[in-house]
Amino acid sequence: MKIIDHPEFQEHECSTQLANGLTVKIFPRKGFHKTAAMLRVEFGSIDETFAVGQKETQRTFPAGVAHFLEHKMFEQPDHDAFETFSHLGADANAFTTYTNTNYLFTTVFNVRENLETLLDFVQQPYFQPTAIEREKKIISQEIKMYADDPSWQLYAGILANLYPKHPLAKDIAGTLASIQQITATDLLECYQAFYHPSRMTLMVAGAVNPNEVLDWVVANQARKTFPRAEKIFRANLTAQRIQGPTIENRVIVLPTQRVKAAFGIKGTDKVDTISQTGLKYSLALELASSIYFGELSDNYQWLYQRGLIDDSFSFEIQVDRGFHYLIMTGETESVAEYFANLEQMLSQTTSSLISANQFEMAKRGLLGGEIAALDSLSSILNQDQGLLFGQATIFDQIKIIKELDLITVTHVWQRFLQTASFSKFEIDPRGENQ
Amino acid sequence: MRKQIKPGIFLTVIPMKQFKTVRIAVDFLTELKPQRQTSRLLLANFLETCSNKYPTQQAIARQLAALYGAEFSVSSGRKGQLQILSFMFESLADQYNPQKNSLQAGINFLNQIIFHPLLTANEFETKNFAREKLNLQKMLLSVNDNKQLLTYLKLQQTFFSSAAQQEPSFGTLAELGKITAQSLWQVYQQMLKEDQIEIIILGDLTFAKAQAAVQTFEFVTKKPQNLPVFYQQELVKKIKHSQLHQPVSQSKLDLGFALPIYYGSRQFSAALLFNAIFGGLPMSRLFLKVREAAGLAYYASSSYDSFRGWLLVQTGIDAKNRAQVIEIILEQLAHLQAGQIADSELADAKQTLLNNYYSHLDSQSSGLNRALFSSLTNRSWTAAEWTKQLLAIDSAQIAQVAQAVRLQAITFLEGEKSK
Repeated sequence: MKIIDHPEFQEHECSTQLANGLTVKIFPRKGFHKTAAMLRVEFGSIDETFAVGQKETQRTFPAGVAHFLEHKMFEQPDHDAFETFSHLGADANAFTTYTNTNYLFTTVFNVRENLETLLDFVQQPYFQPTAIEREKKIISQEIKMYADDPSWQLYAGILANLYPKHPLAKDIAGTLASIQQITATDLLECYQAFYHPSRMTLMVAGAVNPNEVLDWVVANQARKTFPRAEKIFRANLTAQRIQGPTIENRVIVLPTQRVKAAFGIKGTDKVDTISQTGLKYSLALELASSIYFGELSDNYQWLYQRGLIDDSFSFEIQVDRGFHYLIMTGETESVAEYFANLEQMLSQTTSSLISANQFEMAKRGLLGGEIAALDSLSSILNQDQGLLFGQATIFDQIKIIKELDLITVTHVWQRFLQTASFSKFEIDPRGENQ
Repeated sequence: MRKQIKPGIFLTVIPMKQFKTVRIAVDFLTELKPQRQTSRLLLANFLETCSNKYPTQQAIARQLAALYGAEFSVSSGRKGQLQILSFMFESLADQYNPQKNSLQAGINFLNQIIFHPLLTANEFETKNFAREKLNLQKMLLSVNDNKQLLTYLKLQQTFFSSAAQQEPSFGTLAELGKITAQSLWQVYQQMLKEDQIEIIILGDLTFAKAQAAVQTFEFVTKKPQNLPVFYQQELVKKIKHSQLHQPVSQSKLDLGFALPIYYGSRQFSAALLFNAIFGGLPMSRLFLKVREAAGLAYYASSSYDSFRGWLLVQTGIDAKNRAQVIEIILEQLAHLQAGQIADSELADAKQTLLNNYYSHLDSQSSGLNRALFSSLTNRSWTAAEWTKQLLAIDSAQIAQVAQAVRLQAITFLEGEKSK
């Protein structure tokens, strides 16, 4: 097991890869009572078209299949894993993102039993047709709930503008129609393709002894056999023809109170998500965005004082497998001015230089927040990059932020903007209902 | 350790080595009065965005960033019969902070915010005031977008008999309209003069060090008060109903029950266990019977407010299933009233509550909350006491709690896009 010391934080992290390919990362935290664990599978909502073994056999699955699989994993031949966690006193959950599926628990008691439960249910598929039909009702309710949530619709809407033909344009959970098509065979095929230990990362943080945890995991894995991992050919989603030309402007009407407006920037430059280079790119974008549009910035202050934005204004950066974007969202009273100003400010960023002082302040802010995140076990796990970005952990992020300099940040920002495409999306309350 | 450092001003220090940060809370406490909640929230929002030394949000953001990503917020809330305006500051502890003396820096910052607000003549600076008032107005309007919250607020209004409890803890548009920069400044001066103050600091520090540091605060002494904490009301015989109509696809059904058992009282742990089994835990009766077995809801859960004696059930359903969902919820309550609780179910609930208790020891905000509740109620317990108490509860005691539960109000939000 590799152990990396971080004396400046009085912490250390441990990691290893087991013989079956499972990556294990352990973050012991002194003084904590709780342990949090997360098993991440590199299979998300955008992975709907792929082939196993041979490229020619590529097939497209109904939208929402990864999320459906997440729901159904908990059901086991003779028990429900969710119930087992409950008996063991743990709090369990799962979530699916665009690029991965995560199963997690937090517990104070029975760490080993909970850890085994986690590994066992995720590594044991059991899909019963009648249970699948019942799950369709539950997931339909979930989809309807998202459909009623204007903030979610805003985010989904701008993504659909940026990537109109890409799976990112679809909801993670799929649609009411697409989930009806999902069968037990579909679930099993996806499971067999992606749920191999070599495509998983187990992360454990909190009140644990790393050697002990590793022994438990090794013993657990030794009891199981896995077929050889076959190569997966995912559809190439970076091609412009698949991403589709960006929709520049779109308005939808929903029964909300206020105008919600999103400005999206789709990066088309090539970013390496295999090594830490991509993570450095992502953090540099984060820092640049906070300098230009964060609360520290003159732009934010200007917009805020004129009432064009309020506390609801925020930005989000995603750099992930095959796509990267920056999205700014907010509620506003005068949407035309809001967009016009954001566009103008954005174009000015390419000519106005960041001062050393601005840079230092923003960097301190980002760095301090990242170190403070070590106090939250869920932050340690959620910020972990799993198998991406050279398997970077929260400590790698801290290190990269420390090393970021003004030239790198400026360079990354310019490179991102140079070939980026832009989009506006608006949710307008002026419907027939108002 | 808690000590009165001046009349009406209390300091609590929770020394813990576990965390990378130090967190400071300064809480202003007063009795909840109708029509006061709006001005308190507007105060919180105004004070969060400017002060004399830091006249813009940007100036505040820059100062916090310069202190290595310090966090600062001002919030207003309700606990039982109390109104709490809370200033919170958190920054990296000295050993991780290139900027030394983080505790004193935090206190100096909070002192600027609390005692040197941005004024023009005899009122809050009007530009910032007008903007924050407008922002709050927009926020209050946006509440309509959150149907779950909307249903909750309607039920709260239907359930409670006291005007102050009926109101949203964040106030109302009607009240907001009446507030001026001058009237708000007067409210604030009165608050500085009269409110009881609880300063709570959590981090790797001693009481003596904290006490020395808080001397910077320009607090005036206060008249001692006897603040009421718990809210109680008479039971009604006839269940109150209210209804909302919204153009959404999912309907919401909320039920309000009286559960007159209060924080730290004799039956408190049994009441927590009751709520856990009924609808509070992920594997509760409501989850299993309404969502899983009958497939009738996306969510179905209960929560228990031990400062207001209130048990609340929230569900998201299809409109046509309303009667059936009410029936199942009441049936589950009846089972618990009859003491039909499996040993394993009880053991699981106990284990989960203990898990939650110990988990909260890993959270700074929970630590600050626990300290505040113990100051307010004079009720506190050690981990060992809590464990012992909880493990001793049997199903008869839970049935007793369930028997005290009385349905008082039902609110239905009808989604008009439902099919």
